[in-house]
Amino acid sequence: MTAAVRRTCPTCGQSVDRAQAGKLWPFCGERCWAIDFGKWLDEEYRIGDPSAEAVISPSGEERD
Amino acid sequence: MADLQGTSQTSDSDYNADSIGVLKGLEGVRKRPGMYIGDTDDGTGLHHLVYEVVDNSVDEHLAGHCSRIDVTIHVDNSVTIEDNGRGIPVDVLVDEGRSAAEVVMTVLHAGGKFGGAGYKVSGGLHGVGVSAVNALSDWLHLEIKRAGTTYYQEYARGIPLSPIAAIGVTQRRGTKTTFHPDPDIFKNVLEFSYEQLSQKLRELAYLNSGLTIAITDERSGKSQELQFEGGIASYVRDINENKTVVADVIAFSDEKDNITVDVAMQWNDGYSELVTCFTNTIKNRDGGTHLTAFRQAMTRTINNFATEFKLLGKDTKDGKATLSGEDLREGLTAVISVKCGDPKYSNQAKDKLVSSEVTPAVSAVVSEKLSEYLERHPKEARAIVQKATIAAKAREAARRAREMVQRKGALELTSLPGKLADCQERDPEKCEIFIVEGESAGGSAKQGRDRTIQAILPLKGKILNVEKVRFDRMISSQEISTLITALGAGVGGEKDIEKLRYHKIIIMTDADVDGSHIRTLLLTFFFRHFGELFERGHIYIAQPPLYKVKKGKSEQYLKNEAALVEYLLDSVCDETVVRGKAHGEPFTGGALKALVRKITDARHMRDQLDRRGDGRILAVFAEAGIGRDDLSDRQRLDGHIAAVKGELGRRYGELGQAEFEVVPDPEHGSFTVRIQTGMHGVRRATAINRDVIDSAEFKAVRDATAELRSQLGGPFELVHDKDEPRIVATFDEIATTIDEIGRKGLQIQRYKGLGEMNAEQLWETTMDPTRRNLLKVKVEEITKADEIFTKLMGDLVEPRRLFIEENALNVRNLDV
Repeated sequence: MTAAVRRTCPTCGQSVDRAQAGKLWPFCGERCWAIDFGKWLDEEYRIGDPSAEAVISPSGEERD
Repeated sequence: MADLQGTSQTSDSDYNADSIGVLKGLEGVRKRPGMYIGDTDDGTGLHHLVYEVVDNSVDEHLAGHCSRIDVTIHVDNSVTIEDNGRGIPVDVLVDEGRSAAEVVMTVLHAGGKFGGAGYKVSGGLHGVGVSAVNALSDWLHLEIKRAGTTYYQEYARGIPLSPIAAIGVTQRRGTKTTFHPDPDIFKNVLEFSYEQLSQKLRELAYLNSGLTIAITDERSGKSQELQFEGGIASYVRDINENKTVVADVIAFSDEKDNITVDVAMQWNDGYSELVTCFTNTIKNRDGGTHLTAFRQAMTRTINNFATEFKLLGKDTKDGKATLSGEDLREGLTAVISVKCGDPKYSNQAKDKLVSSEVTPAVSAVVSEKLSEYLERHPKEARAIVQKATIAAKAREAARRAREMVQRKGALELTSLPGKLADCQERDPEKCEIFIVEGESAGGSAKQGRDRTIQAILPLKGKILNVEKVRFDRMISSQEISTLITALGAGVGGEKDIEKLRYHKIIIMTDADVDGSHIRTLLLTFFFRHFGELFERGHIYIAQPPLYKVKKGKSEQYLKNEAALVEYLLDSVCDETVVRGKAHGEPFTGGALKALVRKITDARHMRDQLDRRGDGRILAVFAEAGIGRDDLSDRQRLDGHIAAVKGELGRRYGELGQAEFEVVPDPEHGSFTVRIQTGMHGVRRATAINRDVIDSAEFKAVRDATAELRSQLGGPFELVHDKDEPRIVATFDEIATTIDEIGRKGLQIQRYKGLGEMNAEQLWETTMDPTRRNLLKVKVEEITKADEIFTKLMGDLVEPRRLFIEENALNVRNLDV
């Protein structure tokens, strides 16, 4: 039993259903996907602020 | 619309039989009805019948003579349209020998609008007039109230059953037409749709702000009265009702060269453009000269304004600092309505206006009125420019993204730059790729790897010096495409995750802040563009060691603090024996390790106690084993206090002299012990009450101490190897002494960068599948992390917004 996975589109904030979004998940559609991807290509995503530290520090299961 | 009434040159008396031009020929209408009123099968033509009649009444309104139109659908699907206009003229035309009204009802292309004198402007659906409606109705009743008299006439399939006749007197005026569509002509759809009609009538009501249109459906009892004082501005406002708007509706109206131009416009935060165009209140689905002129004038005007007031940032990338029409159209809702004499269209259905004289009129009105608005509303103007600026950025980014995906070969494996050191194996399930931060670590990884199954991709993690204060980390666009190429699964809509070339994607970064930034960026990029990798469990984080310990010639890597503690214990405990002088078996080896761990845990809990007061006092109380019962029995409590004071004096000297005050706690039938202590001049109040005694940390210290004491009674004798025996007083000292012994002769080095390890070390500690530790990133974790990232990035957009604001015009100068 898996509950429907929903998330907000990183670009427009609209709620997106995992099952319906397909390849562009977590984006709601091609446009929002392209905007985000374009930002990566434009090198707009940068981290320098100390507050960004340890945003992602996975405590996931160990393997191997 | 008020202007229009004012500019209308005609009066009641001008509209008589002479002003009716006559164009003959009605037979064709019944033969080929589709040409005149649209499809007769799907309901289009059927509904057009009503619009045709209503349009005549709207023409009366446009000429300034009609304020209300009533449309009624009857149970037999006949429809009545009644207005309070001047009424169609009933004078007998000399040439025709019959009434003007009859000519209007029976002759194609006859009507007040012909000849120019009757109406300056008119909608009139296809210029065929009401005669087409008459021809296509199996019956039609016409009632005209004009000059105090009521006239009446009946028709069947366009043929008058008798001449028009005066049937009564009246105080009112107007035209009332009731018709029933001929079932021989209209197939399939014979019923009028209330929704369809009211939607069209609503549009008309918006376009004619002084006009009330009422629609009643006698079949269902539904009815509504449509009247919008705000005209097309309310139309736009209503369309945007549930949307977030950038600024209020901009509406203006003016006349140039006998062409009236009405515009209402507003931007919402969406992406789509919705511009509706009308000519003489008829909708032009495909726009036309008015739409083109509007767009050009709008783009030019806003750009001029933005340039003049320096609202556009200096776009350093391509040196261009203008907003394109496309950027400005994003999220725009607008209604453009022009009224002019003799408009020309590209087709019968009037889908597209082609009259060229409309262009300069619309252009002039939009330029003048819109710049006037912008100058008077600097705040709104700024919001609009900003919205378009963001749209421009987004569009540009999207264009580049699509281009890259579509560019042939750009992401194909043959285009892989030399940076990737691929593995020999081709079965993705067996293959791993290490994404390594830094060139030198990348070099070591390439040397140290198992090249059959391990690929290495070094990332520079470009550093950007921002304002000489911060150093921003980012992944260069070159690295993004290298990553995608290396993974081999494409990206976006073209992505095929089955083509993934490695089933273990291992991120290997330094254990410092920069490393965590790069890891965050990589994980975010993967999550947004390769979310499947997390769902399928392909993403891992390498765990390079944090410490290297060296004893003599032997070296060892330890992944974290806990591992270091464990190492120290291991190196000491086997050669050490601890005996309690009071009681208990001696401890050594594994048992000693377990004992030390318990001591360390208890110490950690005591540190926690310090948050609740003076930790030294609280700890001694806890170690004394005080419970709830002791707190409610004054005598026992005093006994404990004496013991605690003694112990405090032994451990900390002066602290034993501290004042202990016992006060009742009636709420709990208990007592509270208050102690004032001072250290380095800082007074500190500590209370031992029920809450403290029930707290988890107090209980933990109490229970751990009890357990330790049950095993061993101090003071203790500690013998290490061949050293002299050491005598220690407390449990804590056992732990510290063992730690000290462990560190003796040991070199402990903390690793910060992967580059500090050579190829062999990197292989042994981090890459060797038989020895390494990998952390698998779970999809739930990454989902949450990405939301934080989104917020963070949202904040980073702030400087750009500030830039726009700083460069905006001075509001006070204009806001008068």
